[in-house]
Amino acid sequence: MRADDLFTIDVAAEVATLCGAQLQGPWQVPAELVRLANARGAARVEINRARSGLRFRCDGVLASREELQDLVEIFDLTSGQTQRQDAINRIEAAGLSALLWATGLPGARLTLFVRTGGWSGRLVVRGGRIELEVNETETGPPSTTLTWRCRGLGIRRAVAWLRFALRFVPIPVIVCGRQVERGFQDGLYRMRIAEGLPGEIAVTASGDAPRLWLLEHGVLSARAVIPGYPAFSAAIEMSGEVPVGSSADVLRAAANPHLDRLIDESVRMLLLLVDRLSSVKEPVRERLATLLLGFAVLGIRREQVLVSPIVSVREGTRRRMESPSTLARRAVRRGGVIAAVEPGSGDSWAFEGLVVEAATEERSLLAELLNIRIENVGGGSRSLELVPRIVEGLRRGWRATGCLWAPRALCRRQLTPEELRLVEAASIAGVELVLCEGAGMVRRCRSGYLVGRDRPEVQAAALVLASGGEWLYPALLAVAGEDLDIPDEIRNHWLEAVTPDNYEF
Amino acid sequence: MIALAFGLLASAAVLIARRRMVVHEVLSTDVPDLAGLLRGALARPEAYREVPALFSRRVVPSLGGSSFSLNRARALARRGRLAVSTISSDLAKRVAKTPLPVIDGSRPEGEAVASTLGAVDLDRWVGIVGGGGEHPVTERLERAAAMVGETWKVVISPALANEVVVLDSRLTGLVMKPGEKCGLVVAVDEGGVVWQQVVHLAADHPWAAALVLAERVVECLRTSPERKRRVLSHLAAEAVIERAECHT
Repeated sequence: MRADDLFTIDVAAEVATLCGAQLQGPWQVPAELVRLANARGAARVEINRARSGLRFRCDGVLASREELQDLVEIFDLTSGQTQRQDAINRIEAAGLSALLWATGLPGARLTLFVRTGGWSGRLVVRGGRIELEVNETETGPPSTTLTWRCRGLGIRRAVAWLRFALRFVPIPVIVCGRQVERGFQDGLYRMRIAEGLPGEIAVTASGDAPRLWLLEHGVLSARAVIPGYPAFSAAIEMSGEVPVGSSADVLRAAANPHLDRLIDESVRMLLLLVDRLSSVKEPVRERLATLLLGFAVLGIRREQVLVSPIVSVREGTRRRMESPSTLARRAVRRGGVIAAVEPGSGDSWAFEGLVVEAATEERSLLAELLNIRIENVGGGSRSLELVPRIVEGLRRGWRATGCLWAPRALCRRQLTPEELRLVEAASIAGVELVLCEGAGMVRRCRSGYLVGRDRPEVQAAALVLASGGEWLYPALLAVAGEDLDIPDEIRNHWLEAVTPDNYEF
Repeated sequence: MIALAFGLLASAAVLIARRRMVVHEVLSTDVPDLAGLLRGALARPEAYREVPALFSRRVVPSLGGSSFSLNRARALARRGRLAVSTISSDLAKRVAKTPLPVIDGSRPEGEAVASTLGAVDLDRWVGIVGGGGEHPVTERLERAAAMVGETWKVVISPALANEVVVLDSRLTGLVMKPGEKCGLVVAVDEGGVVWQQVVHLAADHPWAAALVLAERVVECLRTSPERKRRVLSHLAAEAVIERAECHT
């Protein structure tokens, strides 16, 4: 009796076991086929729904003639057990597990057509039987077409998994007519890394811990979280680091020695983005600054973060970016305290004094990093102020309609030189003033603001502007200030004029 | 019916007692660094989302011995109504009698929450208002605000951390002495550049000085631009007339 006859193998059970050990279900097999296609040099993959299953096409050859024959041998009940087991081993070693699962999973119906220069092969699996036809005279470009279904294949789940797991495949993959989106969800910025493990690092808009996507041939194999560090995301290619078919634990263990470098690269990427912080939207600035501060608190590239302008500050009406070390020096001069408001709150609680615009997390990290106290000087929210709003609306309405029975506007030749200068100065500032007789209230008319020439502040404003333009701001405020939105330059010009060094009376 | 009512009462009593016992347990446990835990939870709430109890339990000590939750502290801070006191000043006791809690800043946990959320330091405001001085310019500013329906209290205070600091929340009324009505407290640093400029200008042109000060103050207000301009335009009219009189 031969040794082969002493033991038998249930290939279907073994394939199901292998698949169950490495995949969570048949719905992951299509992604494994993409992994195989990428590994075998395909430049494009297309997957569509077929009758109760999926149709897979690519411009590469998924299996050689010998590998197809091995597949047939595995399921050939007339072959010896040892030969069948050897065939399974060869198929696994060649990284063709995806085809093994597609062929051997319970209820599998498969049609695989492979064509390459000089030959083509057609493998058909129906009801547990497997047939291979090889045509030696076939010509044409390399391609593989595979139609597959099996028991328990959830098409929707398979499609969803394809869109999730193939985000980093370097070749275009079209799933049900739509190309798979690349990159991380919520990604803000990303950077390719070439040294060590190749891949890409990204900073995302959400998330609170670093997340690693461990890829083999571009397809997701395992994920890992690195606790204790500020968030970043990295997708790294592991196919050269681990044997084919390695488990998730093996992949994580192989990635472990590279973690320090990945963390350092992520901080380096954030530092490269510092120059852009002044021009990005506040939530993005806040995210990047918070991450950098978090790394600095842990001592990672601390000195570089300390001198990088990442904190949004406001001084008077001007906003700018400042480095944490500059803030620390300011805090020392102010008894270790820096004022802060919520970003976008519109609060500015100091003029000459500097106000940090930072949310709670950023403030807390700044306080911890710089050993300073950050004082919230933001105000409370006001009520809706409904009554004042109604009153204001009525006032505006009255002013808008008041011009219907207002005195006639004076033409330029009716104005005194001082009044003319007032009107011209206002016009240069973008405010159209129209003077009229009398001392009535300011009204809005079609050509601008209608102002009575006999009002004392109008006469005073005309007189003041006759001796120079520095006082244009209070003059305009006095004449029609409740309605005007006077440009900041005019205001700043006056404030500079009345500083002790400049003003002369 | 009576049995049912007794049953409900007993259940409620058990639930309340249980809740209090749990709270007491959290507070009295010798956690090595509860303050650090609270600071971390406030700084990175996402990281602590698996511990929702940390935010809903009463872990923030307040004056009077009771405590309140981090969630409430965060809500109060967003509205500028979170207060802290270290020395239990009269003002702090007065505020503590209202529904607004006052964080006990003498406890490390209280100090951690107050500093992280930027609570209004009542002890500091007692010093500012109590030791603050007045000046003709500040009176002009208060009068200008009153003319447009705003009640401001402007004080000159030594050694402020900022040039101008404004307290503009429900706490404002409580900061003032009993009987004094006020919608907004403005403190100006006596040694600051702004006040020095105002004083310099006020010697000859008090209305212009009041306008300069008002410019700095309205920058700090969270109110509509129209209302800000109403305060400013009144002062500007007086300043321009004053300036014109100098010319004539």
